[in-house]
Amino acid sequence: MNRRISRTVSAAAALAVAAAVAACSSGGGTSSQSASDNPLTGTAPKGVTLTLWHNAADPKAVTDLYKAYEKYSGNTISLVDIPPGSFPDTVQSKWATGARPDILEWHGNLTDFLALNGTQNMVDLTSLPFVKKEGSLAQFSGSDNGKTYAVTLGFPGVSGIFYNKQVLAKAGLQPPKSYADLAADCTTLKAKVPGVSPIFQAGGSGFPPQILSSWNYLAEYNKNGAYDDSILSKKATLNAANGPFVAGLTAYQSLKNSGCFNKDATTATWEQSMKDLLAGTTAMVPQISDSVALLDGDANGDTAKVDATIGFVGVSATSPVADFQPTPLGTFYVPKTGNTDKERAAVQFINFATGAGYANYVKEAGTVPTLSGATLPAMQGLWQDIYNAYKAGATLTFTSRIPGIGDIPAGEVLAGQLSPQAGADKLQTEYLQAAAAAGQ
Amino acid sequence: MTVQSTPAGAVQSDRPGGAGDETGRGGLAGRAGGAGLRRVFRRGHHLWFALPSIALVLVFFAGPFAANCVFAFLNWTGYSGTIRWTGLGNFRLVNELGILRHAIVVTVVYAITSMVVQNVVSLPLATALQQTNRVNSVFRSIFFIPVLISPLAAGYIWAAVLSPQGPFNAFVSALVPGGFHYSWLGNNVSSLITVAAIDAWKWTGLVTLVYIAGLSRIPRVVIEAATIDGANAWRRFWSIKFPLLAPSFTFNVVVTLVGALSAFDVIMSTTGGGPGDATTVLNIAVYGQYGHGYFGTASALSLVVSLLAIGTAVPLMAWLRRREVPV
Repeated sequence: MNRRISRTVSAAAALAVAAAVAACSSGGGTSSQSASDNPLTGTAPKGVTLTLWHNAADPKAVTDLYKAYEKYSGNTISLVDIPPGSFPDTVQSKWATGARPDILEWHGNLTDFLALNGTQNMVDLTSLPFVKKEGSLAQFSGSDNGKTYAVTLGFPGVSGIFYNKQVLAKAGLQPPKSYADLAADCTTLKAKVPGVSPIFQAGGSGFPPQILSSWNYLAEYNKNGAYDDSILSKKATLNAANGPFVAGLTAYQSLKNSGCFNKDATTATWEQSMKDLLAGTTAMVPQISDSVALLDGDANGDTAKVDATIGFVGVSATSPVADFQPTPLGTFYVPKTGNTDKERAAVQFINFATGAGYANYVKEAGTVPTLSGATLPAMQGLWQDIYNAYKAGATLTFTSRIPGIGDIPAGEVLAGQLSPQAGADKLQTEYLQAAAAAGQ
Repeated sequence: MTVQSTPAGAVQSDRPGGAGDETGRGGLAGRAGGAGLRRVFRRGHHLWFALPSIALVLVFFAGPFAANCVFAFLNWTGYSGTIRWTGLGNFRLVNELGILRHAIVVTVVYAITSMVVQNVVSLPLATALQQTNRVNSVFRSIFFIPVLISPLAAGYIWAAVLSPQGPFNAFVSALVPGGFHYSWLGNNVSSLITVAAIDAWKWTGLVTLVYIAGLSRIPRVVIEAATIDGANAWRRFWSIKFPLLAPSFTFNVVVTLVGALSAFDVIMSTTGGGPGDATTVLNIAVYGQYGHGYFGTASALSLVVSLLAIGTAVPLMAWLRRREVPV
């Protein structure tokens, strides 16, 4: 009987494995389409329900866009809320099971696009009218090999230094322009404004230490994607001892060792950093432009107070260069689901969002439009600072195009667990892992 | 009762009047088909009761475990639709990334700390609360409440309590001069010990109940005889109660250790594996790999968790059961 049970168990296990492998395949999608099942042509249906996986942090302008489309089309959008804190993990986990939404809100970075095997699994939107209006944005957001698979409505997230104007003025300082400035300002702030953390690090939120340790530092090296190209072409490596990545982590470690960071740097959160900045208990916070919403919230919507208190500037290794990357909020893909009717309706949503519904979206969003032809809306002063930093030669964040390096080991350097060189070695291995997986 | 299947198909029992006796009678009387069916039912009826459990184990353990064993050797990622056999490649990769060894060390330290804290706290607690009366019932309930709390909720609550400006440090500050603002979850060593202690706090009530059950099973006459013979409370505990508690001890040590080897939720909600990777146990590393679309390496790490749990539990249980004595 034991043998019989053993055989039964083996058979069941083999079945389970076979079923699981079949179910969990990353999915190749449909490789060729006839005219009748091309979602880019034909009439979109009415009365269908479209599933949309979206980031629960979507601003009201985006959620109102969903409602406007429902009214416009007669279709229904069924939103699947994905918490922002676990957004990439949750989407990739669901994706791995073979589940597909009709519309996907997702990162525009190439590295994130590759992680979903986008060229196989997404509808190519290159021929849609919005692509021309997006201009260069369509070449690096939701794009691979010259094809565009996503529309990017949200203005890119710009990284730089948010600073408290009063605190810097009290110390007699001007906004920093380089990492040397940051180190010097730190010394001055500690001497002249004791009790204020010169630079806030929010290690408890995961990503914030990456900004100061590498994103900002490397901004001036990635003009026209030069640094990314050198890594992707294997002409340089992330862990080159004399390379800018190791130099960035070293500068970061130096700031930490000089006592420039808040005492709870390893556990503090992004939300706390913006509260402290507005309250003037910290002088500078390296962050992305999405933080403006937090600041406005902390000021109970008093944007004038925020504008009077907070400024923004791009800071790179030796020059005031900001960096940017496509935001997932308002970046939409049409996954291949095999249901041509729903794919057509999803394409209709893209056309609506970039056509009939776009003007209202821009007006309500109050940020810089990403499509040409739209009027620049009235923006709060802090957004104007950010836009100025963006226009002044901001470069694409170097992690956007290099696969597998979403987690810069800045947290480990901050916690004293890794040296800058060891951190760079680890990241280089992670890049090679992803590059091999992506067939690069 | 041990039941063994023989080549002849007969069932033997070591208990007089057990299944062997009945089967023997059935065999002699087995002339008609109905009698044969009854005989088969009598032989295997106990297996029918086990069927739901067998089905659950097959569907929710054996199947996924077998799948995991295969996935661990495939180069399955979200980057490609092609899945190929990669041998030990996934294990080599997580080792090269410095994840494997570090996560094993962190997992083992976490599990041992949690197991030791749970048992060291629970055993005296069970001794104190052994007698069933109203006061003890109230305290048993109070200590059991953390078991009922969601691990995620418990983690979030403790993260807030232990923050540098949180109530715990405020309490310590009231006792020591100069204020106290230690970041319990921000230091490499204290964060690991602290999250293990939180895990222990969460499950101590359950472990205590098992010890209370074990203590209640010890015959009162043995304790009374020892008392009459002049054994003090300490001697009665070490020489009588502790040896006779061996079955409970075995259960608690193995369950708490294996449970802690599979830890995830409490760590995720307190530190998320940080600071850096100070509390990145194997399951947190699995989550990290899976979240990045590396399903093969995630499966490899997951297999390591299973092997670690089996490799620890089986010899530990065998060793601990050797010291058990019949009551």
